[in-house]
Amino acid sequence: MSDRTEYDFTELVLLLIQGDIDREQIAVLESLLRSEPDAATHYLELLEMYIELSSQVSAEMDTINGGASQYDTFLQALAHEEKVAPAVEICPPEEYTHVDLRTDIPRWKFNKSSLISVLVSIAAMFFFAVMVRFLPVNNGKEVATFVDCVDAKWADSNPPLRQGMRLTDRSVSHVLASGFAEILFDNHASVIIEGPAEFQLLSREQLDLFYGKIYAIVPPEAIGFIVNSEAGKVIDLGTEFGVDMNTNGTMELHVLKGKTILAAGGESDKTTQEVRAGFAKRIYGRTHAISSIPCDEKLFVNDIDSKDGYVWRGRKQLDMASMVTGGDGYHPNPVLGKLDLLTGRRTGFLHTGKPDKPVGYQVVASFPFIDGVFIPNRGDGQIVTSTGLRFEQCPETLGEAFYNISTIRKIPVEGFEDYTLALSDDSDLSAGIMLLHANSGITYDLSAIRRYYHGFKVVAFETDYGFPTALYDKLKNADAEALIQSPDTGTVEFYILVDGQVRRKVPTMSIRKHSTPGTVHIPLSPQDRFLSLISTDSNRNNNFDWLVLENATLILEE
Amino acid sequence: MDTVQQLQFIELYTKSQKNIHLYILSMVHCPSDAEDIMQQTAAAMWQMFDRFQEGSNFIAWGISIARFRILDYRKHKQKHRLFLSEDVYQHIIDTMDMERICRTSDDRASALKGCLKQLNESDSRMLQMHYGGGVSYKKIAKELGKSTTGIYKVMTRIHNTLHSCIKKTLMLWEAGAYE
Repeated sequence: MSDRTEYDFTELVLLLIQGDIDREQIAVLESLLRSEPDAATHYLELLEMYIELSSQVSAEMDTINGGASQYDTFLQALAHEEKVAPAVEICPPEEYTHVDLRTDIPRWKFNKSSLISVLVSIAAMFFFAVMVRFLPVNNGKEVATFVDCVDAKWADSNPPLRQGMRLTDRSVSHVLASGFAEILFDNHASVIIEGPAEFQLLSREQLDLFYGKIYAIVPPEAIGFIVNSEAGKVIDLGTEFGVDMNTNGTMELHVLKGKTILAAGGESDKTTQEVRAGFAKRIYGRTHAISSIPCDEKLFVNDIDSKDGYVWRGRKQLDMASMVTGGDGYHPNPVLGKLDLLTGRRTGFLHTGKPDKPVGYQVVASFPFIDGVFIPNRGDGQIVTSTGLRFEQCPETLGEAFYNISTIRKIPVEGFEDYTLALSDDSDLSAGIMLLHANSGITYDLSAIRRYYHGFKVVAFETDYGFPTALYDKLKNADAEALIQSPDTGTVEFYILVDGQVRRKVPTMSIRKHSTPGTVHIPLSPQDRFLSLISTDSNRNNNFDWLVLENATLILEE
Repeated sequence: MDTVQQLQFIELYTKSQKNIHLYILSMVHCPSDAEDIMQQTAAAMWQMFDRFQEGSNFIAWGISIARFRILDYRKHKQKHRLFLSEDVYQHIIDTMDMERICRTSDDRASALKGCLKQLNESDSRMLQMHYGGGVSYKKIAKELGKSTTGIYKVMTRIHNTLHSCIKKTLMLWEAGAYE
């Protein structure tokens, strides 16, 4: 079964067990059980696990005493409810007494003035009905569909838009106070609006943007789609572009794909320019002057999905550093920390040395996207995945490590100042970072990631790598400890494996040779299951072999 | 039944209970109903133990007693519950390798124990609410102020995580690579 099918299959089995399954779903489940070779086995394994969970979790619950857990409170509330709820008395049918529902209705007193009032009211109603029926009312023509929204709050004067609602070109603007909304025009142009924004649909191929940000994806059949603003007009020529209209009248156009025509100015001073992918322009509202600015794809949200709550800004990518401590790569993970190479668990300890005996591959079961961690050493027949795949070309190493993979930028070193890890002075210190001090290895489970982000393909791995600048600073220090001056110090190798096979071996880096940071980009296919990142000492000396990965990301595509 | 036979029954039943329970649950799906049928089956097995041939397959014998109760159950419940088609049930039965299930049952239980310890607090609490407290997904959703669909997604993820963890652990034990 594919990862996605397996995920759906599990969900269907849970629905079946809970009794919440419907006819359509049971038909799908039957189809899978009939057609997928290992579905029946998977079904039985899930049920076996269900039985075992009932036994193990119940046993654990029996040993819990006291405590005010949310669960305990909930159960206590349910129990209390049962005790105090009033008894419901059910009367047998013969005990029902007949109740006469008739009441005395006062007779209506008739008089002339009230009759006239009634007749006038009736006439007015009739007249109004005729007016409504025959006078033309402009409800506008349907030009687009409201597709989706995430955290959208609309201004009070606007009724909230609902998914699937058809939108018209009548002269009413929509005010999105905050959040994100997606509209699909009838010409197939799609627009994502980021609040606060005010906009109006002019036709099936034209939008007025009073202020706010929009991102337009315009397929070939929708060429000619126009975004109007006070400062200028953008005419699409088959592209993806973002428009940011400021309340001070300044407009920015950023073109990410294809090309557009930008028209600025009034009747007498209109200028037009072609703006292509990778370029951006700013128009100043008062003067209509156009200037070039850097194109920034991250300014605009280009995709939203209310089902999973995703809001994608710029390239769809996952932060691999955040996964090391249990994050999902999409949401910021406030939990920084270290992953212990000896146990596969999160740790706060920093210790070093050589273990008494090889510890082998440590499966990390608690963080869904991490398969395992290890200390690489050829002599131990290095296994790099939970399925037993081996790193055949693993070099002989010291077999020693700083026993964790860290995602913390500041690391204390006894006797020295705290180091801030960064590959350059321009590094974005808020971005994810991983310290793979030799000798260490970590394996990511790409299948688990694909299952979680179903609907997306993991198409590539990318990272910046190198020594942190702090180490180079240390070298310059005349009082630097002799250790760091040793020629054996600060040389490290970086391997990237996919399913146990070397995809890239970065040439040995050396502090003394001032190796500069680099970037790797490894394409990935749907069949790739495991991605391993490994640092090894190159000379059986791992002092100051600090391999830092910055912006380690998995790139997704739909 | 004399004392020796009673002890013999208890020993055989204790070893095979989980397997017979698995068979029943795979055929009726509803855990509480499966437990009821399991108890009925156990009672019937106890009463008919003198007919059991020593040395023959106790699990298979227990399943044969459960089978009629299962068919009876489905017949009476079909108006109120959805069941799979008969050919699908037969396919599941044909796939069921009781010998392998028996052989790996203890290992799977041990692996699960280890995997449960590695779950985060939130996931553990969800499992405790359902398995420990018998709270349905719908009630959990209501209690936590979430949608039922959302709870299903979380539970699906947790079950898949545990299933993968068990598989990984067993593979490593087999490879002798896990310490």
